[in-house]
Amino acid sequence: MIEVIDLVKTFPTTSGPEKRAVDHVSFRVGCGEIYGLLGPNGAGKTTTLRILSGLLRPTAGSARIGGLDVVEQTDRTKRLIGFLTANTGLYQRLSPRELLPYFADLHGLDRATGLRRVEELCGWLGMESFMDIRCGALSTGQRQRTNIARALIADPPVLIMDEPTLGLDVLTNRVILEFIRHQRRQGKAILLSTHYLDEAETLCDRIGLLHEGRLIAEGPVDRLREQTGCARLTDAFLRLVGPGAAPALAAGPCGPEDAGR
Amino acid sequence: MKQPLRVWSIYRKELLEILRDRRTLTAMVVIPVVLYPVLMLGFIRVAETEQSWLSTQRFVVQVEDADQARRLGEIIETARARREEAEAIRATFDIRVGASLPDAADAQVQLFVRIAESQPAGPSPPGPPRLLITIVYNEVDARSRTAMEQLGRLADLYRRECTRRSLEDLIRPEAGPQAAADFARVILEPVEVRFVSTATERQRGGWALAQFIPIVLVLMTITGSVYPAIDLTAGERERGTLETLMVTPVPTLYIILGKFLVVATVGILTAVLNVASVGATIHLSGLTRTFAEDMPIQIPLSALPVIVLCMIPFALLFAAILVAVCSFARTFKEAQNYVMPVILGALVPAMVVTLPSFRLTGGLLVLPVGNMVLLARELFQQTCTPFQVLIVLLTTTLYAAAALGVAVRLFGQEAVVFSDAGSYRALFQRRYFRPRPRPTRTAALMLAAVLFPLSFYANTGLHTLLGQDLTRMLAWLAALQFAGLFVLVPLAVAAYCKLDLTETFGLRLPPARAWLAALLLGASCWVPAAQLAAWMPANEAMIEAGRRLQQELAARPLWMLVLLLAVAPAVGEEWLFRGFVLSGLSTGPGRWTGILATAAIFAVYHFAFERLAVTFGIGLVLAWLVRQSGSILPAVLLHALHNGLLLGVVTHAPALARRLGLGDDTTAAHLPAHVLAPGMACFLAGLALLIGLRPRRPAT
Repeated sequence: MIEVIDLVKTFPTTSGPEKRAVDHVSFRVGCGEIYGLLGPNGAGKTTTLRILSGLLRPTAGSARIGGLDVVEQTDRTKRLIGFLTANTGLYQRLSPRELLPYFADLHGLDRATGLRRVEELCGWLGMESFMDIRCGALSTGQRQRTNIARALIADPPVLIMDEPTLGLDVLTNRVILEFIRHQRRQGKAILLSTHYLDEAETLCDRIGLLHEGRLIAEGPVDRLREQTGCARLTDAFLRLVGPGAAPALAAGPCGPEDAGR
Repeated sequence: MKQPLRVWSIYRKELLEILRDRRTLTAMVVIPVVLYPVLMLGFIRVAETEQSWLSTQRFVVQVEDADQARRLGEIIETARARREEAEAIRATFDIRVGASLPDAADAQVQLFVRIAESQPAGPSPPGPPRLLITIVYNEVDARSRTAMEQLGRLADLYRRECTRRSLEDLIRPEAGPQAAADFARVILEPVEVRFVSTATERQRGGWALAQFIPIVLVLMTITGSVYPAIDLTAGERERGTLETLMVTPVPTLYIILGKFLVVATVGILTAVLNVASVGATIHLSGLTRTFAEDMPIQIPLSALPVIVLCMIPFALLFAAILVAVCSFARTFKEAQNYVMPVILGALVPAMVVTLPSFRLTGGLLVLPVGNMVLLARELFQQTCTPFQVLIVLLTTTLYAAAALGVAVRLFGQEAVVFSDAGSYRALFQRRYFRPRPRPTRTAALMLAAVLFPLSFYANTGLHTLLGQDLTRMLAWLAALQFAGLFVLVPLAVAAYCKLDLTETFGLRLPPARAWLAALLLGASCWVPAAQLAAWMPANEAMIEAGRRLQQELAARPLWMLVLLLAVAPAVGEEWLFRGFVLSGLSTGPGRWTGILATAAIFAVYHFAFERLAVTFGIGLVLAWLVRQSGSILPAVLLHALHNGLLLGVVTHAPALARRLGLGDDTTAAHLPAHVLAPGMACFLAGLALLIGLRPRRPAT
C-alpha cells in the first residue's frame, strides 16, 4: 500500500551546503501491517512522513500510496491518507462536533455519511463527554482523541502517524494503541514514527531504523534483535545509532553485558 | 462534496471561527459601533459646550483710568445699539481700572484695553476725534482669546456705527433725517454680493461625503482585514493547524480562496459598520449643522449602494494583498511586521489623491488603491463615466487576482509551512526551481498585472512625449511595448523560471488546417468585429480621433504601417497573451476558464471601453485557435492579417473601404448585406475548420 523508493530530500540552508534530511530511503508497508520508523531526533522520520502525506516534495526518488505517485497525484493520494502528528493543532474556537464534520466536508464526504462517521468515531474513541466543548478547553488526551477522529474521518486505507502517543497519560495511551491495533485488524496500512521503543516493540510488525537520513536497519522486531544480538529493542537501537555505533548491521552482536542490562 | 463547494465549507468554518474571536469582534463591532459615536459625539459636544460657555462668559477688561473705563463702556453700549448684528455677541464685560494685562494665564483679567485719540497729520477734519483702540490679549489663553474676539467684534460694530452717524450728520442739513439715513446706507453699502450655488442638496451631500468617506473606507477596511488576514494565515501556521489543513485533499487555491473571502467579508462588514455608525452619528445627532452651517450635509439613502459598491473592490483588493503578504510569514509577529509597510504603501496613494486637484484620468486610472479612492469620490459626486468604473474595477480585479496568485504560491510552500524546511531562498533562487513545461497560474496573472500599468504608462508617456511625430511614436511603441514588455520580459521570466519555451509560447508547427483557418479568420474577422462595434454605444470623440488618425496614417508608406501596427502587435501580443498568459491559465481545471480569462485580460489591455466587446471577441477567437492548433503561429498570422487588412484598406484604399462599409461616413454603422453575408460565411468556415481539429490537452 505504501511504497518508498530511493527517496531523497535536501533542504536549502542560509549558508553552506544543502542539508540532506532523507538519504536514499526505501521501504514498503502492506495492508494490515504496522510499520514503525524509529530513529533519534533529526534522523529524517518526520520528513519522510511529510513527503508521504504530500506536505513536502521529494528532491529525488519516489513515493507511492496505493499505486499513486504522491507528487504527481497529490490530491488523489491525500484522499487515501489519515495523517496525525503529536504537534497537530486543533481549531481552538470550534468544538469536536463542529470540527469533525468540517474535515468530513474537506475529504469530500456527503453530509449524511460525514455525520454518521462522526458518531461512529465518537463512540469508538469515547468522546461523548466532550463533543460540545471547544477544543481550546480540552485536555491533552481529549485533544489527541479528537485528532485521531479527525485523521480517520474519511476512513482512509492508510494511516501515517508521527509520534501519536507523545505526552499522553497511560489511560489515553492505551485507548489509542488499542485503536491503532483495531485499524490494523481492519486491514489498514499503518506507518508510524515513535520514540517509545517499548511501544514499538509490542505494536509494530516491522521496524525501519533511520539514522542521519539513511535507513540503516529494517525488518521484524525479532529479526532486529537477532541480528544485533540484543535481547531488547532499546539495546539494539543504542547499538546501531548510539555514540560510537558501527554503520548498519556490520556491528557485532550485543555482548553478555548488553544482554543483561 | 464537489471540489469548488469546499471553498464554501472553508469559508463558513473560517468565518465562524473568526467571529468567535474577541479580538475580531472588538475591531469589527465594538470600535465602530460604540467607540466612534461616543468619541465623536463626546469630543464635539465638549468643544461645542466649551465654545458656547466661553462666549457667554463674563470677562474682565482692565483699562488705565476711569476716563478710559467710561469711554469703553460707551463704545460697548453704542455697538449693542445695533441690535441685529450685536445679538450674536453674547459675552459681557466687567471693566476695571488697573495698570496692565497680567502675565499669568490663570489671571482674573482677560484683556487690557487702551483708548487713545489719534491725531492725523495736517489740518483736523470736522467731526469727532479719531480713536485708536489697542486690545492687549494673551493668544495662548482660550478665555483671553475669546474675550478679544468678542470685544473686537463690538469695536467693529462701534466703528461702523460711528461712520454711519458721521455720514448722516454731514448729509442731514441738506436732505433731512430720513433721506440722510437712506443715503448713508447707499454710500456705506454700495454693492451687495449674493452667492447662489447650483449644486443640489444631494450633490452637496455627495461633495461633503466624497471628501472623507473614501479615506474612511480605506482605513476601516484595513482595520477590519488586518487581524483576520494574519490570524487565518500566519496564526494558523503558528497554532499548528496548517499542517492538518494541508494534508486534506483540497487544492491550495481553494484554501486560499476560502480564507481570502473571509478576510474580505470581515473587511466589508467592518467598513459597513463604520460608515453606518459614522453616518448615523452625524445624521441623528445634528452634527451636520455644527460641521458646516452654510453647507448642510445630507446623506441620502440612495448613496448607500454606492458606498457598498466602492467598498467591495476595496475590500477584495486589500484582502488579497494582506493574505498574500501574511502567507509569507511563519509567525503572527512576523506577519505584523510585514503588514505595516503594506498599510503605509496603501495609505500614501489614498491620501495623495484626496487632494481636490486630482481627477480620475490618465495614469491615475490604473494606480492601485489610488484609483479606487478617486472612483469613490467621483461616484459620490456623480461625475464618473462607465469607462472609468469599468477600467478601475477590471484593473483592481486583475491586481487582486495577481495578489491571490502570489498567496497561493507562498501559502503552500514548504519553506513557509515548516520553519525547519529550509530557507526562503528556495522560493526565489533559480537553482532551486524545478523545470516546468509552462508557467503557473500565479506567474501568468502576476506578469499580466505587472505589465498592465507599465504598458499603460508606456502608451501615455509616448503619446505625451512624441505625440507630434507619429512615425517616431509608433516605432518607439513597437520597440518599447511590443518588443520589450510583451516579448523580452515574458521570455526573461520564462528563462528564469526554467519553463519549457516551446510549451509556454506554443512554438511548434501547427497542422496545415490551422494555417487555413487562420487565413480565413484573419481575412474575415473584421466583419463580425465591425458588426459588434456597430451595436456598441458610439463615442463621437473616439470616432473623431480615429478619423484624424486615419488621415495622418494615410500619409505614411503602407509597409511601415503594416510593420508597426500589424506585425509588431501581432507578434508581441500573441507572444504575451496567447503564449505566456494562456499557457499559464490553462493549467487549472476547466477548458474554457483559461481562454475566457485570457480574452478578458487582452480586452482590458486595450484601454478602450467602446471596443471592449470587440477585443474580447477577437481574443476569444485567437485563444481558441491557439488551443486547437497547439501553436501561436497561426494566431500571429490571423492577428497580423486582421490588423494589416483593415489598416491598408482604410488608410490607402478609401474607395474600397467605402464599398465595404468601412469608410469615413459609415463608421459605426451596420455593414451592407453584400459584405456581411460572404464575410460571415468566411468567418464561420474558419471556425468550422477549427472545430474539426483535435484540441491539444495540456501536458501535466
